[in-house]
Amino acid sequence: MLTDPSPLAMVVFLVFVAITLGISFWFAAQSKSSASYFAAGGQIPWFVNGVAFAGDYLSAASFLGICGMIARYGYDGFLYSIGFLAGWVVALFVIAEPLKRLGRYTFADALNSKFQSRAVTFSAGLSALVVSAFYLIPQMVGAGALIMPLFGLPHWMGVIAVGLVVTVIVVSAGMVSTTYVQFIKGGLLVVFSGLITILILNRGLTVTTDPLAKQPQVVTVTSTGAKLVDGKPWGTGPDEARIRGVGQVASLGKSPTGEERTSTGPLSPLGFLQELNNAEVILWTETTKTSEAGKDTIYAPVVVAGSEVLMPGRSPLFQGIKSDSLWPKLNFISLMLALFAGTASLPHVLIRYYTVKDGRAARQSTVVGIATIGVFYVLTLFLGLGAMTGGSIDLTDSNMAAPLLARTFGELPFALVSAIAFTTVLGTVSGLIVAASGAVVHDLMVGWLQIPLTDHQKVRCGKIVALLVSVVAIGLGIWFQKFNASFLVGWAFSVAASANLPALVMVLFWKRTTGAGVAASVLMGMFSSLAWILVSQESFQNVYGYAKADAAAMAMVPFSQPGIVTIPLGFLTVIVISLLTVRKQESTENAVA
Amino acid sequence: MHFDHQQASDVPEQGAKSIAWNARLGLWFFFIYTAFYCAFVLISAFALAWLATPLFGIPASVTVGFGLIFGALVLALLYARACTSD
Repeated sequence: MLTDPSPLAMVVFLVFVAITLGISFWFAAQSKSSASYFAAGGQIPWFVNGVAFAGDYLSAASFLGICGMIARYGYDGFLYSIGFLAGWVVALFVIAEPLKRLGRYTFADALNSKFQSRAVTFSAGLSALVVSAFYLIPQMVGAGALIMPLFGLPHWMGVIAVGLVVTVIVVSAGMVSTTYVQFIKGGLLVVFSGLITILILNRGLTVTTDPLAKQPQVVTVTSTGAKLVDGKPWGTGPDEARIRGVGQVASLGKSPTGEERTSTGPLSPLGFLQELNNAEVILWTETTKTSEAGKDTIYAPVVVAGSEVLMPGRSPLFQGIKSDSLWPKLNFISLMLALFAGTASLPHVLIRYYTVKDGRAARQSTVVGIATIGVFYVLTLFLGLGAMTGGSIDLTDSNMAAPLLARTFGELPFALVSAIAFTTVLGTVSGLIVAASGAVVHDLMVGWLQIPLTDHQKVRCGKIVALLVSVVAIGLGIWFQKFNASFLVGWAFSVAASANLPALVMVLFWKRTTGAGVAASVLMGMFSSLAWILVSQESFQNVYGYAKADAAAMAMVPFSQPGIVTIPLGFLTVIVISLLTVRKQESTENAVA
Repeated sequence: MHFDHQQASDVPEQGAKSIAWNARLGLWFFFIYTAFYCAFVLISAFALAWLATPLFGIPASVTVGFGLIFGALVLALLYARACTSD
């Protein structure tokens, strides 16, 4: 934690959360039926739905994770921005309209519109549940990261706080209020990111004069669990220390008269990037070792040319693309493929196609979504680079770059940005929980188990499931605290793309697809991608806590991102199983006809 | 046979012609964009140095990244305009 709690930030923050809850309760009074709870009765105006798409989509990963990654490593975070946006092309051009035509509540409806197969309902419902749970983890992690500097509370309390507020929202209201919360939040997020970008450009770049800017920092966690910084206990007292905020410009080059320049003054967007391209910035490497005192994390400064910062391949995740070895390159391609294919496979994105009235409205709202999201992703580059040069990065928490950057412009921007980021998490989490509970109630309980439920009972069951999902999400959020949010989202995209996309595309475009093929493909995609992730080096290192070398030795797959293998595997499964079962299907069809 | 899956829906039925036109259009737009995206990913993986080429005084990586984002928006607008719904 880099900063002290701020009373102003707390007040602004609580007002925001109160308004969000107020909106939820207001709309709750209007949504009583099950159609309204799960799909807003198909009556959301397309423009609102479009901005709500952005609200749903621009999650903690986008705002906190991407900015954090750009701030620490440069361009690499922007690769996520590009991939996340490109995914919308698949959603709009391939999936949106047919999906809208075929289903009513969940994407299992659409998958199953041709087959009326319980196996399809089961597998689609299960995959929606698993993907939502995976996607919930980074949101909860992000929520915890936000609460820490705002209130000075530990991470786990932040996770629980967001869990409780979201539960209240979802249990009280459902899809209508979730949509309006998303609409407001999506709009605010883009507007405020724009304002912060203007402040960044107006500030320009300044060379640091701080003598400590190029000094390494060591954080030690002792065997008793105490935290030391450069050997001193963590704190603000006389003999205590805290980690310094970093992110400085080392040099801006020489002026035409031959003097070292110290500051650029206000810049245009292109000017900012050009100046940075010619500048040198101080980035930080991170190494861990075990010493007598405990476990040391050493942060060492490195002066890097700006032109290098604007190129891919500086982060640990992507540095493999600079090597000559093929596996890291495949890992990168695999992730970019998952981002591309994942968007159109996310249950909480797909569900939003059922909140508008027809295919035309589905298209229009996607275009509005793409515009809003696209503008935001362009801004992420400026926010991230602004943080990189703004002197406020907390090396121990990659998810806090954007809010801490806002703090360099004053307490009010910090409070507003934190509050918006928190409502961002609230909105995305509630959307995910509605999608997950819809999957359980419609697909698993009514569709698969064939439990006869009245409309009223469906809503009640949905709320109970929502509650259970929240509890699970809180637990996972605490467990995965150390991860960068956009990295975790990459996993969710891989599972979603592997499980859902092959089945969805084949149902829409290959008339010989059978119910058995669809069910098998969803299960195959889901389990193969999950298994791949769980036995990858990343998991051995970050989830099970092995050292890097051991993790590399224990990994059972050559690279960590499954998409490039498991997405084609899903397609292969649907084709093979469909061909094997096609005769049976045709003969039943003839019998019915 | 192609359009036999319109049942489970209570929205007003769209004409088969319009459905087919929109679907074909969507696929074309999809292939165009996918080609650019794949090119970008493959260049990043196998010919990274190309992206260091300056375009407008900044590395091409940034210019091309912006291009992919704005390109998606332009195609989306064109598609929404060209789609029919009778």
